[in-house]
Amino acid sequence: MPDDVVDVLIIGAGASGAAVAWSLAETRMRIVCLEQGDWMNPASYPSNFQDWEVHRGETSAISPNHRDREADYPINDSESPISIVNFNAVGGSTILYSAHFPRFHPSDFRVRTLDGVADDWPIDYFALEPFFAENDRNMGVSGLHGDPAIPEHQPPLPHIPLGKMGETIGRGFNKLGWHWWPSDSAIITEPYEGRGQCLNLGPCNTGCAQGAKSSVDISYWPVAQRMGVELRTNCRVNQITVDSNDMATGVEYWDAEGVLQHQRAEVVIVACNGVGTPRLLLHSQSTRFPEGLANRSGLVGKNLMLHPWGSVSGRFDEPLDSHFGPQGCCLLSQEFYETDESRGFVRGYNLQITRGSPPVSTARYGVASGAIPWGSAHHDEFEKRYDRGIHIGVCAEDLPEEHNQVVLDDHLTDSNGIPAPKIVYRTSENSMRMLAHGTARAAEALDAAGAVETNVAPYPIRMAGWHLLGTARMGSDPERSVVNEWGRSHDVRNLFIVDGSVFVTSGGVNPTTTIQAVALYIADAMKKRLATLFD
Amino acid sequence: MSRPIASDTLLTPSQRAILDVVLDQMIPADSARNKPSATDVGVFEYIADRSPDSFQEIARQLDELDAQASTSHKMLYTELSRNLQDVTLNRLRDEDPRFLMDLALHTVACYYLDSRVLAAIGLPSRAPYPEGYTVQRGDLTLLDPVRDRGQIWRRA
Repeated sequence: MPDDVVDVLIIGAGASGAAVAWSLAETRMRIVCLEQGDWMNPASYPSNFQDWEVHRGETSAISPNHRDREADYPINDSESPISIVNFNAVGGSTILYSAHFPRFHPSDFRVRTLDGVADDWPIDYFALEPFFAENDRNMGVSGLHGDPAIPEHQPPLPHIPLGKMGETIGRGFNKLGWHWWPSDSAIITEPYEGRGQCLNLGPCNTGCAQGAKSSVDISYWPVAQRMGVELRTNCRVNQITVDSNDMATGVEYWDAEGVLQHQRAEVVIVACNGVGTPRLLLHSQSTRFPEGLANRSGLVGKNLMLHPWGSVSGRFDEPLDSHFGPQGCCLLSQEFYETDESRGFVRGYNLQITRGSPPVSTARYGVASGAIPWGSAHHDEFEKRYDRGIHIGVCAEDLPEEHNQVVLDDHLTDSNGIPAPKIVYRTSENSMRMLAHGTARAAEALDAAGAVETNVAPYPIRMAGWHLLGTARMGSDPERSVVNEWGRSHDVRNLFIVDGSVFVTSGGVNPTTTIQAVALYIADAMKKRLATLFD
Repeated sequence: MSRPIASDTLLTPSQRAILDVVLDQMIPADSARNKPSATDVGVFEYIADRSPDSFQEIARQLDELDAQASTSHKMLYTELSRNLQDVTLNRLRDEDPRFLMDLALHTVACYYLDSRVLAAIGLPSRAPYPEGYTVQRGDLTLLDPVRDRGQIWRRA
């Protein structure tokens, strides 16, 4: 029945689409979600295989340009020092994310007021707080109560194990008198909601064979489907259609058989994140919206924020069991999260302490860099490096700048002929200063923990554009924002955006829990206004 | 007539012989650590299975070793002493750091998947799933100074 009318049509089955589908399901409205990818099969994830380190490069590449699965679309990142990485499937990029799950801070929503830069959000931390907690319960989040760097909250499950390496770097932070804490992680450490607990497999960022990592295909979606949400996979949306009253009428999409369909809908919700969402809006051109749908502000695609990333590794004298445990989740330091202008930049960054490298990665990196030689000395140098490493990622807050943007590529298209997104991005001077400071502090922490050698990778790290934010920003002024303070388009009153593109600023932490809290907040706002939703 | 086995066409017998020497130059056996030579872990079969196209460039580079041995010493590479093999290989690597790097990266991947090598570094020879690994939860008293310092988030 492709030409009947559904109440709500959601585009994208990733982190935000899943959360909003679950929240709206209780209304008993007819809800359909279109996802261009398919369900993933956990039995195919690399950690099912002894050669997982090699297997991961073949099946779990993080760049869509290298991965080139049928569900992927190419991204032209030739005009950006940072490449976009993502995943297209039911679950979206949560399939490959590390599940490091820190929340934004209250200050992140008030950067203009506090620091005189960018803009304040039209909502604040405390408006989102109940939705952070709701999301923690729905996803299954592990953590330790009492972190003094963030307002008090109680994660539902016990924290991720620190291991010997966590204790080692924790002692280093203590020597310096700096903050550190076991990180909130969307990984279940005890049996939860029918799912088995984390087994410390290691490569969470290749998909979790155990199902302990809370990707939304195994957290939100099974529940949303039981509540009646229809999820259509392998369906790629071409355009959102509108009528002469500036109301969305539905979407045009290719179904799983490759047949072009039109699905009518009373409400359209876009959940394709900071690159996919502006791409779709810019491609949805019509006589009413010649510059792209919902783009009378001219801001669709602009203010792209990517979290420029730094990486520092430390080598220690003794074995640390460092490659066992959830790869991206151990602990964090937010010592330098809040603004201190004496550092030479505004805003701040998160230090994410991640596990060490397993044997093949240790050897490959060592041989490629020349640190591990050929010949009889190979064994000595490998032994000095394997199982003795700690890595620290520096996640720098990226401030919004209109020249950083997503546009449609003039030539490149996906397999359906839809123009590919092109990224036009420069790393700001503020971000570069932040990364210089952050990588130096990370090296200092590793030294304090006893590292015999530290190595700062050139920054920003190219293959680290996971966090795609800001390209359809939220605000009360229709000339300075794309959606209002509860996610509704200023220009199209039955069009909503619920993903990272509505972010006004980027914070300095991995954004998934905040993206989902915003999505749940918007869904709640919609439910409260059902009778007057389009007024 | 039957078709030849594909892997037989990837390298000539002389290239296979040079490959065996080069693999041992890359990672020789270490009896004290119970580690085998890279010659003995099936590198050729590993590459043939996963990345047969790589042999085109590897074959060319193995021939280059032979050509260098012939020019400098009027001998085949496999006939040189180990010392002269090392000199010859290092000369080509000094001229081009990427020389045989693709082979080296395949070699270490194959090597550190071998059950004897894994046993030597204390790892079981199995997939991570379903058995997983044990990681200690950690000493939370280490957080006492962080707790004692109190709130550091900024009110807004």
